[in-house]
Amino acid sequence: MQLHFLRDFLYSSFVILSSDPPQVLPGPGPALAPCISLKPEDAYLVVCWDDPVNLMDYVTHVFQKVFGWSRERAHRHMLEVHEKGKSILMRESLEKAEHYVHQLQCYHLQATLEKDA
Amino acid sequence: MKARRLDDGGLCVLLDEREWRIFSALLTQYASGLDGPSLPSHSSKDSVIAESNTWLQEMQATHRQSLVKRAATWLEAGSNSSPKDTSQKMLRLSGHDVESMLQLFNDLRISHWTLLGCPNEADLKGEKWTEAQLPSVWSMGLCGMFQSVLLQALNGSGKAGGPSGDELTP
Repeated sequence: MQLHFLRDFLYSSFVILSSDPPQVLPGPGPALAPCISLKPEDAYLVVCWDDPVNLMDYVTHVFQKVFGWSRERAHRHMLEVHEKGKSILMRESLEKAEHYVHQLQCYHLQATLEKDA
Repeated sequence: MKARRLDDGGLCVLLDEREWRIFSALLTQYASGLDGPSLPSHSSKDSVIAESNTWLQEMQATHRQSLVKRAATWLEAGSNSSPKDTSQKMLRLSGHDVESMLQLFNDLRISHWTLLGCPNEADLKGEKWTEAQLPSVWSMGLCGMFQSVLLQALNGSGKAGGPSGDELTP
């Protein structure tokens, strides 16, 4: 593929985007507490870490899709990842936590499993 | 590239000739074995978590293979699906297809980002790239643009466009 062809296409796409109005982000939401009660010895945390490459809208979409959250809730967690470096998304049994981490990793988010201390 | 939401939760995607050439070039690139990005290792002293991490890595490799197969399917479907009297290509994607396509473009985007040395946002916007690196810079942008069109169609905005630097997580 000709490089100039790719370049022209990309630049024209960015021109389209530059006319978009700026996105207004909502203010801080309620505390982002994990929602499931488990014995500490049985509980694992699903943690998502910040990275410099994933698009913010993409991360919000992934949280909605994987956890079935509203856009607002997903957006709050995305912002927490963005601003604080990580967000605890779920507190679950090992099997369920593993499942969620796998789903997030399929979307290439930096998700890890941690023992609830 | 235009994408319209379907009643079943999927998308109907229409690409003109130029967009199809780029779209198919990116999918071919993915299917032909550009190394997938490796996830950061998260070693743990906890044996249960260490075992789980090994399993998760194996699952990721399997998942990538499934995306490669899907890419081949979309290429074939698109090649055979020109609406009447046009040079456009049309793809009808199920909801599951859309998610897989988002994952594929993100995979490819991160692969190119890794090839570039994992630059931060400011470096990506700069113009210090060599001629050899430019294809990766443009591929990153193009993948992001396709992702954004799909996401906007899913969210009902119906607008076409690409990601700006402001939309990158830092």
